[in-house]
Amino acid sequence: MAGPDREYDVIVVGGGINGLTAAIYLQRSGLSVACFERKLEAGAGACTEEVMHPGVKVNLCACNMVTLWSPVYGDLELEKHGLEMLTSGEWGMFHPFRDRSAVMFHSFEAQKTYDQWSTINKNDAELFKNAFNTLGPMMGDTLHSTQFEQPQQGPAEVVEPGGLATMLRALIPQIPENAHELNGIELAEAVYEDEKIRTAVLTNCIMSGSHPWEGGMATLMPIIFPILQCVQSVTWTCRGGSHALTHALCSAFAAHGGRLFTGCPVDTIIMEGDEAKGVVLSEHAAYPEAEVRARRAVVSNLSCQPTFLDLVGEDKLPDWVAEGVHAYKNDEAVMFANYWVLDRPPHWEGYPEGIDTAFGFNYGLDSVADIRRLQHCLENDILPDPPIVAGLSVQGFAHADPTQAPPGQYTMMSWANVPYKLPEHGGPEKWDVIREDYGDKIDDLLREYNPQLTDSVIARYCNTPLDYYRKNPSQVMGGTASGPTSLKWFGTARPFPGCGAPRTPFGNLYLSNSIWPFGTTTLGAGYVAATVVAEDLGVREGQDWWRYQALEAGRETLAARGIEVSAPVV
Amino acid sequence: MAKLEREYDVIIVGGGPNGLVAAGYLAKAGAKVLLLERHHELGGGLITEEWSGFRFNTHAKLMMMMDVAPAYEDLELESWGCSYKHPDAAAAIFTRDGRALTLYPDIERSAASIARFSPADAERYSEVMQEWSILVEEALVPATFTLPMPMLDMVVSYQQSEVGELVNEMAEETFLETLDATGFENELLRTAILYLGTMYGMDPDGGLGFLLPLFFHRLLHASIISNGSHQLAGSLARFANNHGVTFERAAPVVKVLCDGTKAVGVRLAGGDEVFAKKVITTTNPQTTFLDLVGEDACNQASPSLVEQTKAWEWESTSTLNVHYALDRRPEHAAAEFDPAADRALVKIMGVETVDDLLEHIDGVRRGEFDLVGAGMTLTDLDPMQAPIDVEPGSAVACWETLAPYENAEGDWDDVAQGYAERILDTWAEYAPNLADARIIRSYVNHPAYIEAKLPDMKRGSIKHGAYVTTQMLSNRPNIDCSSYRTPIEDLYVAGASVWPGGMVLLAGGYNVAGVVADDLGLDRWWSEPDFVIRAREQGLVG
Repeated sequence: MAGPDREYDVIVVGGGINGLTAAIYLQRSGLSVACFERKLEAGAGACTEEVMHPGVKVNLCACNMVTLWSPVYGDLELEKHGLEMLTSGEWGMFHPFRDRSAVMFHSFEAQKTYDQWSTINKNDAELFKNAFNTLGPMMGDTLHSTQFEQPQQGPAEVVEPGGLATMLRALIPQIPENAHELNGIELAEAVYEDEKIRTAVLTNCIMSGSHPWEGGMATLMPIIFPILQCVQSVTWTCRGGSHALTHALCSAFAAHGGRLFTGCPVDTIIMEGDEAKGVVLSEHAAYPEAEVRARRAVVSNLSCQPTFLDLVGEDKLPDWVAEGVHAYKNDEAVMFANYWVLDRPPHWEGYPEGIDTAFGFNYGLDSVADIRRLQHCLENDILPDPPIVAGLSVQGFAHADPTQAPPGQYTMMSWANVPYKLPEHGGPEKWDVIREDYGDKIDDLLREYNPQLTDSVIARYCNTPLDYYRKNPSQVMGGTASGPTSLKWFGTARPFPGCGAPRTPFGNLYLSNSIWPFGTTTLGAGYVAATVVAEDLGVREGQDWWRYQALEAGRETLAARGIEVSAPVV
Repeated sequence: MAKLEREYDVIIVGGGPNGLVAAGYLAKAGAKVLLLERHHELGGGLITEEWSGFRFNTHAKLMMMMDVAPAYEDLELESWGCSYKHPDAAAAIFTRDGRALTLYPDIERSAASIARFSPADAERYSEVMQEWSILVEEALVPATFTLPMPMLDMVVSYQQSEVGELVNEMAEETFLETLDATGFENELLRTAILYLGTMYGMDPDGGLGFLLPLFFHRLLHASIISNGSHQLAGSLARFANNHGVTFERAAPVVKVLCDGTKAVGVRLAGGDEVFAKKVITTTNPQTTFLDLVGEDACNQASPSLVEQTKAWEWESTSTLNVHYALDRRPEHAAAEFDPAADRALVKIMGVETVDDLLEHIDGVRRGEFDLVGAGMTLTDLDPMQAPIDVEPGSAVACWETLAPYENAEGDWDDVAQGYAERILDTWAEYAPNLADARIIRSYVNHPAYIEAKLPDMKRGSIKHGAYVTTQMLSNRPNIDCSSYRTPIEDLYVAGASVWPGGMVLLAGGYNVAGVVADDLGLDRWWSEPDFVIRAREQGLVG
């Protein structure tokens, strides 16, 4: 047969960035690995397409690339495979208000964040300083253990009183004694004095996938997030757009001898007894209905429901598994996107200096009441009107990387937080009907903050949650994080309690999606899957290239560019 | 950008199909190859992008030579993930009163459809197509995958065989004369043949009449690439990568570096310089010689090169294609008359007579846009190009037509979206179920967009320059460069502006690879196809 061999050690189903990550680690550890991808280009959400205007690159899903945080960046030498991480200016994020003020978050220098906050509220700036100087140096270890190791705890442990909250309280006296009983909003209101700082910080929590109206880990995010922002910045793009990450991963996989087969949807995971033994490709695949066996493992990079319901088959699931799979909530982290191309660089008349070249921002939230309004809308499937853009706006693509638009053109995007189901409009299929109208509402909202931006629009493209779902059936109901981001699905509870993810209730079958951590460009899910599979298959030992810790490789890269991060605030 | 090495055996400028093919052949021959592409994706016109999970092949769609191109086997494209699909019915021309004439790769099936319109033409069709098939298969296809003979040598050599004589005769004819010579009487059949012969911008009044049988025959054998045209680029790239080619994307070349009249390397937009024993450009002649090499070096190498290059003629018409993501496939009323027509790959609509077609072409040349075109529903052949998991029954439909680069009705940006609606209304006259279809997305790829996306297609010239006698065969791009070598030592040309031209034939890259392999003293590891060997015995290729 032309094409794939009859058998590999490991088969990875789905060539998203986390699937590719797992595939490369396992191939490089001495196993033979094949990865089957349904589309012609791998990368799933790390995609860049020319859907709006000629020469204008649209990063249709993943847009703020945090790959520099990842051990994968160093282990796999992604720079040598063509990946170049870029950012637009010194400031990573800002939160504008209608009165032309803004709360700002620096990309590398906590001192600058502190100075900017000091112009708004001295005490809040002091809190930040204290938190940064105490927790900043621990961030690498904390990130590594929470994002790049198989979780040992579920939501229950994270919220219990002896947990992290108590530990932090010992370090930061402003944290109230009853912190573990609070949710994120309550904590922000308890520790920050200024309403704008509270709002900006809580908005950034929402942007990072945390629901500040929840307790537990979410409680602490209003303190941790501003630190994360300037430990190494969350605001990067790849030269050439988000899809360049995919290209680098594909190049690394090929360089280590792995085989990626595109245009190859997988139809079935072959189960013998309770063990995964291989896959059968779809009748529409480049190798129609080919059966490929996996000697040691099958890793599914499809999300929870497609993996178990479609590929394994619902009839093969024990009741408790079927129950867990059906309970997996897909319609959180759902976004409506506006993409624009502008005829001049973004300029924020009357706002603080530095904002014009800042990478990203959020808008439409002027006080904590707006955070509550968003909570109400999302919990009740109400489409926010006016919209709320707490999912991230990026204006820095073209500043960071002029190759993403033709000369004289500048791209920008906004992710508004929306529910998927649209009951008031008659169901999710109505997204096609209301798409442009809702896009107009986002334009109108942005105009209240900065009319120059909307005045300079050459073209606009809107992408609805339904569009995300159609583009990637693994993003069930259009979720951008391959599943829920709320507390119930933290740690060992993801995708469902008892699963043991990335292990599954089935032998030889693993997940690199819908597991802890969320699917992001940290590549944490793929890395964790690789770690567990490699240990189970006994190939982890002796791989001396597999050595980086979180933040480490990024720090080296930035140091090479003369950027020092994490200096304490004085 | 990853650190490039300082020196390679071969640098290829441009990662379109020809650049990728050349890279694959040369790398497997042992050359150290660097391929530089200005865009973020490889493939040139082999573009597939997704709107809401609907794959729009915004540029190249129909592949005329996949079943004969040597690269398909040589570069193991199938094992690297490429496959192509032939439709059952290749083309159909629709009438406003609900009938359709359907054409197949198979001569007899076509004849049966023609017989419903003209029994006499049906008989003639079998005779004509036997002659045309021999012409195409024995002479023109082999010529595609070999270097063009100098014009005069060709005329003399072609006199040795019957089929060669026929090419010689047709070379002097216009498309219309070639069509008239068939003796076909039925207007619908005549229109269909001329439409397929001219749909990619050939001049019905120009010479080179043999291109009519070539395009007609090959479009009846056209295929589409499974999963989308870009999959072909991916497979070519994976083969090349597996043989050690270095790819650099988003790396525009601004200069071919010359030492006197000898090419020694290139300079990238960022200022980096890379050197090589051989440089192959796949850009159009004006970009290659005037911009990249520069007039000074050209003038030193050849007194006429600059003048010839400046006289290069772009195509007189460009192309518009409108892509629709629909909740249903178009169902044509003519299915009742002929079920096969409904699923024909190329569905010609809006024109029923040769005069109408000529008027359409003339109008486009005058800058006018009209509602004549070809509808294609690629998801009929390849359902996965629509998000059928989430939207069962949905489809991607595309309308392709000749269009003016300079539009008399206004700037393309202003008028294009209006055309999308008018075209769908027209299509609905033939496919009534489109009237209630939900349009999930539409995208108009118009001539100005073509030029903006693919700058070598200047003025929307999809073949990098007109197919006219002065720019074809050994005149493409000019007498000095049609052997793929150029007057600039160690500089080679291999894009659509070199014989045999554009249209993703996988030929220019194949031909140049042989030349460069010879000049580098590398083994040609591949063997010539049998059809070329047979043609050489008859004096039909050099």
